[in-house]
Amino acid sequence: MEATHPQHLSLNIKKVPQGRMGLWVLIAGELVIFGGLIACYLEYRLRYPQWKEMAAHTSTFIGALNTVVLLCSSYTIVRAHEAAQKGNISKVLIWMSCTIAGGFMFLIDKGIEYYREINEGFTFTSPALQQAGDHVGSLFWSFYYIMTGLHGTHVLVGMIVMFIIMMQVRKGKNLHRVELAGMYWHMVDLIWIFLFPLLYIAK
Amino acid sequence: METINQNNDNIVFPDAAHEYHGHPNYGRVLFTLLALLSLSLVIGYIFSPALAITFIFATAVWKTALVMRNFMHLKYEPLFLFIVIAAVLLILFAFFMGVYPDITAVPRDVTLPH
Repeated sequence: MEATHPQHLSLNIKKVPQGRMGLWVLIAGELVIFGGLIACYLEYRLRYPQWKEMAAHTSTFIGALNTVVLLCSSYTIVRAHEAAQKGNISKVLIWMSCTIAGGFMFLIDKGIEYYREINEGFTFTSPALQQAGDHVGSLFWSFYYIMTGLHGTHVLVGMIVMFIIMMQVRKGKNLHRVELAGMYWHMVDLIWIFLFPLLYIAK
Repeated sequence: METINQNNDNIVFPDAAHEYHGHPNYGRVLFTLLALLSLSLVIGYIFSPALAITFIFATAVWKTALVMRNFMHLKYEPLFLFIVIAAVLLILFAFFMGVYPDITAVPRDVTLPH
């Protein structure tokens, strides 16, 4: 049976470290932003069944690969956090480097996917679709680029933040920030967990 | 209050964060997440679209719970933080229901202006 912390199920928040508390508030805000987008996407998807024809152009293989990459990078950052608690700086740096590498791989995959889709004429406004009178199809790609683009921006920001924290950890400072960077990274992972089935599987 | 790590005097680790929570078996959690991902992909190819989407979203919710509870250590947090997250989900549900008629009640033959 798993052990739980004594304050579990308590309403007392005084013992929550300030950094964690701040991150949870940030995560709550981000959930509203992405949740709102996902809610609108779902409703339009119900409204326009023909969106599945547009979704058929997305690459399930690249989407699945990116999901594996993000899940594995979530694992590496949590191992970095574990190493930070033990004060093992070299391991923290190795695990954080793996996480940043995962972020790079995600962005490269995404770039390849964007390149393919843009070459097929599917852009943020998709002029070819609009000229053909398919405004509904064009709307799908607007949602697609907003959601994946905003998510990709979060991945990039997470990588930059992680790199800055790595530089601090290298000097033996701010090891507790590894956990905070990890929480942000897990949030990015969570958002992708929902974007993947919406955009890549539900065809 | 802060503790100085015994291996390196320069490492400063706040007490609250250091002793805040335990560590579950991360390898097992990752394995479960990857297994659920594989299941989603298989379901997407086998079942009818409506059934597949239901199952796929159920696995997505399961994966989310696993990540939040184990990787983000939500299971070690006080009840108050559960309430904060639940409030966010409630707001999103209200948003979904509020916008639903605006999106779905529009006649299907409406065309956008050029």
